[in-house]
Amino acid sequence: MSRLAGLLVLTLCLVVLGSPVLAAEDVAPGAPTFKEGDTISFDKIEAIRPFLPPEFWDNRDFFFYEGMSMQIGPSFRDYTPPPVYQEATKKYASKAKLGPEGSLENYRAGQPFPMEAIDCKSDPQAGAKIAWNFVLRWEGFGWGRASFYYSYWDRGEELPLFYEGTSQGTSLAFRPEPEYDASDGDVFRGEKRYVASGPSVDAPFDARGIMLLTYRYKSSFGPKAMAKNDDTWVYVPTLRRVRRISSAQRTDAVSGTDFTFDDLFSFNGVVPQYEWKCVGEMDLLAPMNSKILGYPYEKDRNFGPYGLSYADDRWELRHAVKIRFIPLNADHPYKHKDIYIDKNSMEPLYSFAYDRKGELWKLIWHNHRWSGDAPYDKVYTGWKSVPEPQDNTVVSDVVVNVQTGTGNRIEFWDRSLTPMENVGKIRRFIDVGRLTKGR
Amino acid sequence: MMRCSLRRAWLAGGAAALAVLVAGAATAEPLDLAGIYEVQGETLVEGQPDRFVITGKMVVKPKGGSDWSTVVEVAMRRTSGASGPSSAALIGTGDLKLDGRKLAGAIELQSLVSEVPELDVSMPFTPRTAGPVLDAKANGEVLDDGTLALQVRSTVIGEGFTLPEGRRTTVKAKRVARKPTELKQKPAP
Repeated sequence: MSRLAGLLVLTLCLVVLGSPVLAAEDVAPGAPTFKEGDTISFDKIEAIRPFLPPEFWDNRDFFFYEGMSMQIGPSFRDYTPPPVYQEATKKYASKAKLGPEGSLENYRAGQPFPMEAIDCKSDPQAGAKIAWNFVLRWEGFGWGRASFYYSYWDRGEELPLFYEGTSQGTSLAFRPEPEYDASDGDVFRGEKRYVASGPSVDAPFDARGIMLLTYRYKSSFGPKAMAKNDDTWVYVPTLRRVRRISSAQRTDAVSGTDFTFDDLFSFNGVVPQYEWKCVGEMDLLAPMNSKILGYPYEKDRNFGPYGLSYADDRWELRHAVKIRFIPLNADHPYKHKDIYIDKNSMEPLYSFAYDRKGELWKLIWHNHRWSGDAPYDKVYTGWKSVPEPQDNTVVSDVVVNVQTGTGNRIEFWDRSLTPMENVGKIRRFIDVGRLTKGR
Repeated sequence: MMRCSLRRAWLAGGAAALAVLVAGAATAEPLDLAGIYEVQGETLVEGQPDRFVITGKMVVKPKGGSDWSTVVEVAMRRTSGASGPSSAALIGTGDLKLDGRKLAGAIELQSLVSEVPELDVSMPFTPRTAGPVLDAKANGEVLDDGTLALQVRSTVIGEGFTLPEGRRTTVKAKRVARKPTELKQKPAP
């Protein structure tokens, strides 16, 4: 009897001791103490802590500051892509499948793996499926034009270095519009590329005229050994020549910034070059539909004392999923990266890159806009197959190197996903000869 | 009265002795190197015109006792001569040991070079590629103002570029912040 009592006491002690740990790990944050229309000032940020990634909260000094005014927008607003994308998702839902090494087979258009059918906890392939859904999210078949501004920051000081210009891109394959049915979704019959894109630099003066054109190939959907690397052409005004580059990997820093090419939009890489895991699902607050404009509309927007904050804007509660990649390339600078994605729009919210020692290195986050709200509704005009386009898309990226305190901000608030209006324009855009003729 | 001044003298002597002891203890305490450093330096080659200028950042973090870990992000640019790359970014992690004011450390630096050799490694949007790894050993000291003065010898491992023999690299790392969130002081107008 006394042994039984002892065991009971021991069990009770273990339960009491164990319960806080369970509470921390397994229990959701509970109902928010804020509501739509609230303003979160610096002294109230504790209220939003349960709805931020812990890594973000740990580095909040970069983002939250005295004088900030965070407006709480609607929770879980519907930002689904337009009917053309949703219909393609339904039409081709059962066709796409994962191949060897997380490759994608038989993809035709829309979301390759409907999100509602993915079980993060029990499906070991959930990570790779979500990664493909992210890469192939609704992007309006390319973007007609976006003005960009890169700025460089070092512990709150804006460095005397910037780049300003425009960027364009176009989808060349997997198009769901009826006019491309006969060519199985290709803009040009037998197309091997699926996207072409490139920026053009206008300022500063010594970089003016630099133009790039990059092709990504359909074969990048295949296993690593079969994938053709991206091809990039660079026009260098000082040389008056176009140089061709075959990018083996895009994991290197974007030219003096804290971004790598694959960091843009949190992940801009080739899915089969990584191993993917689905880590979990949660509700998060994020700047999802910017109310305060940035470049090129407003050049004096407040980005906080470090120049890297969107705290002074509208934030919304979103259903999110967290996936992790582990690079397959041994010389990749990251040990792993965690990416938080909005489940409804598949837009990136936050990502956290860890160095080879496993220490947090870079924190990346984004601001977004919804095409249905002013002034974006004026920017995003419809086209033949999508008369009323709708999307939530990224309009700014920020990366913070949390080890050095440096960071970069890229702004492109006028980004419109209206594609180039005809095949003739697409043909001219993807022609490498344009790089020299354009200047 | 006499007794009172004796006691005062004894107390003053005790306090002075204590102060000496405290000062002694303070000087014996190991230096705190933690922080973010701005790195400036150069590589010269014996008997050659080659000169590379080095600029960038180094983060020093405590590992315990006299051991420190380092994160280095610097750029190397050739200002004269013709050997090696015209510019390269060097990124890596390493260790530093402090003995009094003497420093000894090692670091493995991954080089990154512009895929368009005529363009600087920091030119925007130009893809860069991984070059060889520089296996570097550093020795030096902590100067009176806290600056780390280091002499670096490196071995180039792997393909991409070579560097001439007989090179000598010296760098100075000046601490500019204790932590990454320490805002830079704005210069007075």
